[in-house]
Amino acid sequence: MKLTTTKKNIVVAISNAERFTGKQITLPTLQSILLETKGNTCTIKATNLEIGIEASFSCKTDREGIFAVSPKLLFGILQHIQEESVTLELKQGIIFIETETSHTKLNTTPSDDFPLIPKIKTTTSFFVSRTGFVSAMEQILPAVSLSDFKPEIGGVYLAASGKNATFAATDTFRLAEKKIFLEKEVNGKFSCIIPLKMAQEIVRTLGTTEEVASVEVGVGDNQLMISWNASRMVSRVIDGNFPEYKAIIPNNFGITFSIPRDAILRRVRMANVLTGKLNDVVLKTGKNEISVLSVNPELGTTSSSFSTPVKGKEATATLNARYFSDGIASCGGDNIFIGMNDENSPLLLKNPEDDSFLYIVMPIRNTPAY
Amino acid sequence: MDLHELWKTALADIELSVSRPNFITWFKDTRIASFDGGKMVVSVPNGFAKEWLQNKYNKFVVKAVRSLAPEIREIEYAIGDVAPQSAAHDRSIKSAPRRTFEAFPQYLDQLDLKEALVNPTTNLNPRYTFQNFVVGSFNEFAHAAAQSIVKKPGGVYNPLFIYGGVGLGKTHLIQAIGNALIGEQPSAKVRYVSSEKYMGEIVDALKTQEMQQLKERYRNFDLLIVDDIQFIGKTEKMQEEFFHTFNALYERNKQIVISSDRPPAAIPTLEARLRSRFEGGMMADLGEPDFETRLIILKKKLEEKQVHIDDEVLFLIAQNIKNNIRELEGVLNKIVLMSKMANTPVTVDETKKILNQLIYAPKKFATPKKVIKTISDFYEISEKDLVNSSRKKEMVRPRQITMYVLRDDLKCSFPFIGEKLGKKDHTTAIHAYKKIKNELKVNQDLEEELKLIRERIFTS
Repeated sequence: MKLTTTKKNIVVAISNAERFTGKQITLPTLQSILLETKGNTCTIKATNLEIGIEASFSCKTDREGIFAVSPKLLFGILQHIQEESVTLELKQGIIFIETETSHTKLNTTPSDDFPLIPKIKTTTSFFVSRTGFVSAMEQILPAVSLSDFKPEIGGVYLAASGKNATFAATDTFRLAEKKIFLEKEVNGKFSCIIPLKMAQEIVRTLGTTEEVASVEVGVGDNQLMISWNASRMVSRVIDGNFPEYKAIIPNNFGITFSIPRDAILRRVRMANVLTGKLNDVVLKTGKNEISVLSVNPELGTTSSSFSTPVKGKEATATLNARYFSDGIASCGGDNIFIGMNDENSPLLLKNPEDDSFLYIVMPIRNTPAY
Repeated sequence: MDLHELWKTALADIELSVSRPNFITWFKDTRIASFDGGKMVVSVPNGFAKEWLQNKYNKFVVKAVRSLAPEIREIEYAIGDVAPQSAAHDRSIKSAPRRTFEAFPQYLDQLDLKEALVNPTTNLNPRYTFQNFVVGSFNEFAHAAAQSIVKKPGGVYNPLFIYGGVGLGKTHLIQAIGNALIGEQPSAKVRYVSSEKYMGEIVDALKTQEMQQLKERYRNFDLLIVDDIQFIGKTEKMQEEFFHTFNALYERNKQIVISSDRPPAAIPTLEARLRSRFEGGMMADLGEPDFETRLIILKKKLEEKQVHIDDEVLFLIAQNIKNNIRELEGVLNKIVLMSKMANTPVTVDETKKILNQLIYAPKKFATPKKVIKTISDFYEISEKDLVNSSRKKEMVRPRQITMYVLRDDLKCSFPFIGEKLGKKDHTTAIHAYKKIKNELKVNQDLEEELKLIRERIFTS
């Protein structure tokens, strides 16, 4: 096998594929990536048997072939070469990496046992713009549950029908929902729960494939496939039904206000420095101002306020600082709208100019007033 | 040879032909899903294993299986569950509360989105189990009936109608039935629904013209649990739908469990055909817990929270909060929080302070005007008729009840009461008061009615 390609092409492909490799010791070949050339494309495959990737890039092929190699070593060498183009040649189980000024020899690993990336016959699928898909996932990801005690919330719920797609995630303490508009209609009703790991990889991998405009998302046979050009990612989907979360979203609020997003984020992060054991900050609304405060009995207290018109009565809510700031960060936009009722009801956060995303957070059980 | 044995023997054979790492990687968590006339379906944990077995190891598998069962013609691979459903269910129900605490010790007080914890298929909250249901003399009958249903659903206690006041554990008990049944028979189709939600589903189905699907869905349940059925009386369409669903389930000997805040006879707008059906099964009421039970409930809650509080304080709480378990929990939570914040045990005096705030705070001040309005609303007669001097039977009785409430709860004087209600003499008021008071001793329905009236007066 012999191929010549640009450094940029191969480095991006390898760094993406590396995250898909497995750490299992039972099948050592999972720790390596597989490179295969056919015609004028080179395909890199990697999998940990939960998720898998098959990414292609164009290259000049002199001889077709296949080999498996440790991605760490290959990436380590390639990222430091200075030339624009690089040649890889396989001779008797050794890979020669040649540029004008550098010569490297790497031992390959046996490729016979390398798993096949499953071919998935999708039953329903839709096309979505890459940037829209990635940014929706990014907004949703913080709310995904990290605990494995309820598997059905350990991922991102994705449903699409007609020209609308909805993303949702919850860890029972907060909930995030994002709606996006699709250019083409979905063929049928699409619905699945994407495992957290896969959702993270969607953000990372698709985030770097800048040349791609739209990707296809499809499910079939309990599996999910995301494909673009000649590349694709596959994963199992989570069994089970996502909670019926629509009823959770509050519609009426006793207290509402809008505030520059940066202003409140700063105040929450400041309060976060002096939180107590519960990591709790208090959001207090007055007539014409809101304030964020925290108390740590051993270290000290802090409070900071911001003048803004507040509709409704005075109220306080105790919140987990991280949940609160995650939500503020996810909302995006210059301003943020916050709606609340009493100290035991959920708060709703959203961008006042954008109804497509909302974030709900439950307070911590109310404490005696500070 | 059963399928399990067959696959085990086949695996032993396959193990010899492939390398150890490959065997462990690809054959872990596989099993025979079905075996039907020459065609065998092997369940595999993921798409990678499916692809690999199909393309690389199929001939080993075929050879191994054929030597045991020669009639096999073809083998298919399907991606199935990793663990059998039942085991997964069991685990999530039994160990759920403990594991959450282990995972998030610091979030003990973090409130959660309750709906997200609920199992979306059954709509049951795993928190409600028989294990954490405290049984006392006030609820042992209902509890026993509930338990016998788990043993024999659709048997003699069908439907089970449970009624009782606010915060006495109706929802807990009926959801525990569902959770316990799933624990025993993981394949049972259970559905818990509040009548409000049921109404929403009917409205949605009417909108999207999927009524038929909704009907089919409801008629396939093995156990249908309907909470707060008293609200069903509000709309006729809902009563009709529920009536048909009820009949369909009942005919197939499927269990129905219903809860309400009052007995069927006391739900004013309930149609007769539904009422007679509700009364046809088993009716059990949840009374108010006695002092000892209240104490046990408090202690059990403390155990869950892993906090220690003096018995003296618990005594005080149990003595003061008498008729609502939810309130009991509320006070306990407040006290636990206080002791945590201050890092010192709570004293009896502090508890008294909290109790005082609570006992007197929520009870709203009621005026005679409000009492009259509420009672006339309750009996669906106009306020004018109530304060009039009409002697029609349907006016007289509500008027007497109004007099009783004004005297008993608001401590109004008899002449004032007479004056307010149709310029009557004070002796009329005295007569009414005594009459209702005496009747209360023998008539349980009246007691129920009064309880509801008082609830409306003092909570809304």
